[in-house]
Amino acid sequence: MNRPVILTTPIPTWQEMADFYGLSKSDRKFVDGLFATSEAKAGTASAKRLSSARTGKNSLFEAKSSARKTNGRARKRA
Amino acid sequence: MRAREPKVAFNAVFLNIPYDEKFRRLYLAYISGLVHLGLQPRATLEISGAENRLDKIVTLIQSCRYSIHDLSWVKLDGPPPRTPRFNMPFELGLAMAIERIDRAQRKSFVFEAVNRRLAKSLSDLSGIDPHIHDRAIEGVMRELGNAFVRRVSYRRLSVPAMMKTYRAVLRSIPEIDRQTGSTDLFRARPFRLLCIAAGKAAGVGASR
Repeated sequence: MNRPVILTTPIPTWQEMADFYGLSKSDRKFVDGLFATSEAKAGTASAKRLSSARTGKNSLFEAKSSARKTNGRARKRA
Repeated sequence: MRAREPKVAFNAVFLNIPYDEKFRRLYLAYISGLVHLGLQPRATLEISGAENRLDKIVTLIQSCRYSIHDLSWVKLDGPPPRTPRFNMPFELGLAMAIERIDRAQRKSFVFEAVNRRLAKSLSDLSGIDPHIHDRAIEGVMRELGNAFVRRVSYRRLSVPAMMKTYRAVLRSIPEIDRQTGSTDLFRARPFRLLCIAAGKAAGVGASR
């Protein structure tokens, strides 16, 4: 009973699994975008983190306002 | 048993577990772990309607090459008259009978949380050692890895890799809830979506 089963059958792709479970078109579309969305979100977040690490600013707003200040000072000096 | 036997899906596993919110973590662990190993879970929650339910359960078990029976849920339910649920031991009996009668190669596994309790609760299964998962997610993953072996890289099928799939499935739940309009994961549509989400998270069938 406790002997393991050695699996030799091919591993299905998620699309083959969707066929196996008889997934509807809308659910298939949903799964298709499932982790892509979270990866994209994670990508955006990591890009923001990278950008703030480079600029030393916490947000895009701070970076913009800082740029405006610098430009203003530069104009005054000129 | 039945005049016409259904086609056996060689990657399909009949998952006999309690459908209870308190069991949710382990339910997700079973789905994630099995799919990570390249298997396809099936469960009675996919069966709709009460008509011919027993026949449908038998057909479902017959269509699966493997079955997992989690007998760790040994308790009385809340509302009076307080009763134990017999569905899981009953379905284990059906699977054992089908395993012995059918010609197709089948295999059933019993999972438990407490060591040696099965000998007391179901002594007819003496000689059968259950897989003890200690009511832990890692325990379920570990025991699934002990029950099913696949000749791919060790790292790919390690418990940490399976846990990664589990965590990805966990993250997908709010989106699955939105898609199905329900927070009840013990229903047919969320169950199927969880299985396929686990497949996508594990990268099943991808080059490995």
